[in-house]
Amino acid sequence: MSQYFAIIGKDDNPVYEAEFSGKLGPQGQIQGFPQDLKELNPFILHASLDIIEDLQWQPNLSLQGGAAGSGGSGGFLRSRNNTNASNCYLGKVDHFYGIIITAYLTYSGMKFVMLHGNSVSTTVQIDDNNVKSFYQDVHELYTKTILNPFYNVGDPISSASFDSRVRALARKYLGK
Amino acid sequence: MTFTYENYMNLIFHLDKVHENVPQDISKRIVSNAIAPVITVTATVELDSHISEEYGIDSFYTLLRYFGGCISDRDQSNEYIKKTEDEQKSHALNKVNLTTIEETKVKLNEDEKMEEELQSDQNVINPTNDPTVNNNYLDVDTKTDNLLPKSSQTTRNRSRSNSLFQRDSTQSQFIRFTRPIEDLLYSGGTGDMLFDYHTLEIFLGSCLKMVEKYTTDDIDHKTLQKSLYHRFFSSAISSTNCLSPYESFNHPIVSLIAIDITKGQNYELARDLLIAFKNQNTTINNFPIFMSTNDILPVFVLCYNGSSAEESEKSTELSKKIKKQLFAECIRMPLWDKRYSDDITVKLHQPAMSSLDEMLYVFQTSKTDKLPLTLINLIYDQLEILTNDLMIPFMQRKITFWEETILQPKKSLFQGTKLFRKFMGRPSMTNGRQENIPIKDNQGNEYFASTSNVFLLRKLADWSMMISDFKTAYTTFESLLEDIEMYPKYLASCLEWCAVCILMGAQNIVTTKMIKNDVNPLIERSLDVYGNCALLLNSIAESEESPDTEPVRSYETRCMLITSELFLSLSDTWTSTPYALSNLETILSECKLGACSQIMIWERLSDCYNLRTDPRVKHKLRSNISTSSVSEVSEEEIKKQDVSSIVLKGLTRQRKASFFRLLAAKKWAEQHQWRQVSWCLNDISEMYQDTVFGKRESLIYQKLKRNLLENSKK
Amino acid sequence: MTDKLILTGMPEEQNVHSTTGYEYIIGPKQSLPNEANAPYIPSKIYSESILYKKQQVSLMSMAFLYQELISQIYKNSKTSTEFETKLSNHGSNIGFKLLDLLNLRASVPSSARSSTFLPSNASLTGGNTGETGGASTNTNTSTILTGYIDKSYESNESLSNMISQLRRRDLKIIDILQFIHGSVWSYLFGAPSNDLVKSSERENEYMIVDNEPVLTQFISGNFSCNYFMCGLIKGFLSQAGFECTVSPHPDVDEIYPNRVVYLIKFEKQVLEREALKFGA
Repeated sequence: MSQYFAIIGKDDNPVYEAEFSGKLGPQGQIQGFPQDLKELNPFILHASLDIIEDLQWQPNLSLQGGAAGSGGSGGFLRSRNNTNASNCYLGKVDHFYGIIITAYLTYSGMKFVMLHGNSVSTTVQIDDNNVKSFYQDVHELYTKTILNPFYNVGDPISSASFDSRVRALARKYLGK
Repeated sequence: MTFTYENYMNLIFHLDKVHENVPQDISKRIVSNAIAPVITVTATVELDSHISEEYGIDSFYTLLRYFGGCISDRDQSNEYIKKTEDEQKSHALNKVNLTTIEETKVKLNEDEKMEEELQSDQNVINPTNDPTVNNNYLDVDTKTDNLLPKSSQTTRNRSRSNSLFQRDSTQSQFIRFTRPIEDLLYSGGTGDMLFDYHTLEIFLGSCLKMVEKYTTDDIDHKTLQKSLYHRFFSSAISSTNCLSPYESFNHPIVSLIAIDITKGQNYELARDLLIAFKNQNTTINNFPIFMSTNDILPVFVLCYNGSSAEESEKSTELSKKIKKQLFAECIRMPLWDKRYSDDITVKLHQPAMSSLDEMLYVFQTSKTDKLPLTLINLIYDQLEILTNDLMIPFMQRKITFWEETILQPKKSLFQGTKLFRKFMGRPSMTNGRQENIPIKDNQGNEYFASTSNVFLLRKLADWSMMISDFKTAYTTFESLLEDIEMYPKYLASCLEWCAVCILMGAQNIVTTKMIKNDVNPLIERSLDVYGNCALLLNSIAESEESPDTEPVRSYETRCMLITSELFLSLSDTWTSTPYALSNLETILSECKLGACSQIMIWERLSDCYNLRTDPRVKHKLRSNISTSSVSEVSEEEIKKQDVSSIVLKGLTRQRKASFFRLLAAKKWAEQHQWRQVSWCLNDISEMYQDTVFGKRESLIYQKLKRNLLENSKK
Repeated sequence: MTDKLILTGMPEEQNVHSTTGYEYIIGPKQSLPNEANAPYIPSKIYSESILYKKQQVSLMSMAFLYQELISQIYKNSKTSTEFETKLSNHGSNIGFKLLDLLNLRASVPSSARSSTFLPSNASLTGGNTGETGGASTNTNTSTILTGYIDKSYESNESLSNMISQLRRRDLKIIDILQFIHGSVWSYLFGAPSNDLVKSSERENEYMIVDNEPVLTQFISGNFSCNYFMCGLIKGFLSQAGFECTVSPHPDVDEIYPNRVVYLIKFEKQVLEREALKFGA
């Protein structure tokens, strides 16, 4: 499975992007996204921002993946103590055929969004816990980035050090 | 200049009106048109050739075909108005720019027009909308025979008859014309599919070619784009004149029998034609068992020469005689008149809805037919009489009869105790009608016969829908469900129309809960049953080879198309669009459609997302803009609003809409439909052009832009 | 500590992996299979834990720095509004950065915070000599043992094993104000602010009261100097999606001659949103 991960700023601008590809193919080539998806991925991601913004201010999030689209329906089914649950990780927010889109919000409203999948034809399964951990650790890295006094919020993160750490996290949590 | 239903549907022929907005309730209008009562047209050979000689139109059917649709709109005569307004415009231009010689020419033209206007102004007599007025005119006609000036009065008052101005679209009556039953049986057959995606694709291709030819990249394409979709939609749901055994929408209700008095055709011929019509049940060898000429109203059309007092009198007498002796009604049409030659001729446009085959034929020949304006208005007058005074009362009589003899007894039986029902035995046996089980026709297909209670009830429901009595239609459909549980094809269609009924009739009171608990389950169940039918056929097909599942699939596709479109017409689009979206997505993934047809659906998905706006947004915008509070807030206005507005965030799906437009653009490019690509890119430029992704050369957006540019250079 | 800033102790590194990060113009880079074996590109920022460390700055130094800042801005400003805006912007920048930091820290349970509080070897082994845990996820084991050891994420540079559940993002005005009143003030000044008050007259106004403002205690006569804290509050709130303006107001009495009230005016839309999502 491949992932396309991006941190999106307040003006829908990418602050950071990366593509993680899984195993090598039979000929030793990298099995990333096919070319037509590479061209399309950022737009698939962009299209899901509407839903993320919808979920951003929902008092109750159901993390069972049902939050996508319907936006705030069926709230009466959730228990009250859910209000203490973390609402940074939004879980699966959207899908485009076989591709699943998960999202995460930082406290400062930066959107971490990721596309999971290789093609539009086969649906992928994602492990919510691993994805959540990945996001959480990237969140921490991101927090460190903004602590840098020379970094302005919203600028692209070009640090190679940041990049290598995010990729390591991807290998750890997503590289299956 | 008014904008009519027909103008919108044929917008590509009316490019001067591209700036108009999409009419409200358009989907309801299209559905009304698609299920409008069907009128067959039979004419004698002599009449057809007479028409052909005089007007170059090959038959009486071809002539009447131009008058289908919403008759009260009088589209064909509007063509004339449009032309003169265009001329006036160009005159105005000429006056400013051109030399004196041309100015005198203009003067001459204007004088001519003055005369015309004087002529018509004399006749603005009776602007009321009372149907009896038409009757009065009929009487006046017969007495004075001075009909030329009278007919133009209606064109003067056309605005009152514009169906788009009606608050409720179901108030306007649509009609459809078709060929005689015998021809339909010969060409279509009964088991045939509703629409054939190959033909639909070819049709769409021709439309796109026309669009490419007549438009430019920078035309105001918003309404045109939607009109194209609605054209596609209406073709998909009504493109056929096949006679379905499971529903009666395409079954004729009125049969016109036209004879030519000028050629000496008389009472004897009329009588023979009527007998032949009545006997079709037995004389046509594959006459479907689910149809009966008893439920079709025969109406004679007496065509005569209006300038001949003798013929006019003859026709009046004949009509009296036919009524007295054959118990049949007549309408009289002065198809010929020597005064027509001085009259303005109007180029006829294609009707808003027509069968695919006919449309394709029209595209190929590109022949335009013309008729005198007066005649056009006279035909409309007669058609209004036909519809309002003959057809609708006939339908209402039948409906009342069926209600009293079948629906009521059935209901009262169900309300009785079980014990009582036991004593009664099978209720259907007792009242002398046929049993409620299907019978085999001579080809071995099992259908409910035209006289069976099941089919009569189905007809009761269908006809009630046609005259916009959705309440009766709904209760009838509902009571029918139990009887046909064992017959999946009947059941599926019944469930489908049950849902359509609610969506068409109860628009203003449809709530989220209703959609969730009533409408959507009906649709889902209907689709399930359709799906099962297809599976069943598939299993037969494996063993026997031939039977095709496509006919059933085409019903399934139609069901999804209609319901998704009607969902979009509901006022709370936030709740209803997800249902439309899921239906359309199912069509894309499961139904057979041509490449361009699929892209039409992709574009529609984008429209759906555009419409998916939280009602609170509309409410807020309305209070912000504080214009006329009644007027609907359009998508455009929502877009114009500050997108970064804190409250509105997340309450629209504009990014999603843009994404699907982008996908459509990509797919149009694959089909080399560059005009469409350019329009799509135009739609989304606002969303993408300033973003990083929109600027990145390696991504699809820039790539499409480059492709488009390269293509325009070629 | 300085040795950690010059962490290029492995000469082979340059041959193994290109060390460029994300490039904005080009777009996402694909991850390469061999990079699993590459060590982290060293960085002081990323290898330090963001866990709270008690590192105090003397008040005098702070006051000196603040005084320098103010006189610098004062010199470069023509009007008092300009001065206030500039000072406020400096504060905002700090506010931006505190938002994620303090929320993350608040997610670490207090028990974990004290027990793992800066283990003595953390600062010494923080470089690339860490444990070998992280490589286990990699399946191309043939090259793993060639000497490069993947930096483990279980090491102290990450909080991930200490946080079981992140703190909720604040969605309501009152929640985030309480966080400022409590956590932010405690982080900055060692104690919560003296009061958090809702205006009784206007719905969108709230006040944070500081009896003895630390930063401006040595400044007299120029009340505008409090705009730094206003900016900080404003930056914190607006970055979290609560757009507002903040202004300082004196509220002196005999006990607290320097008392200041930070008046927070939220934008109408913020209130509308809250009414919409939480039902008024």
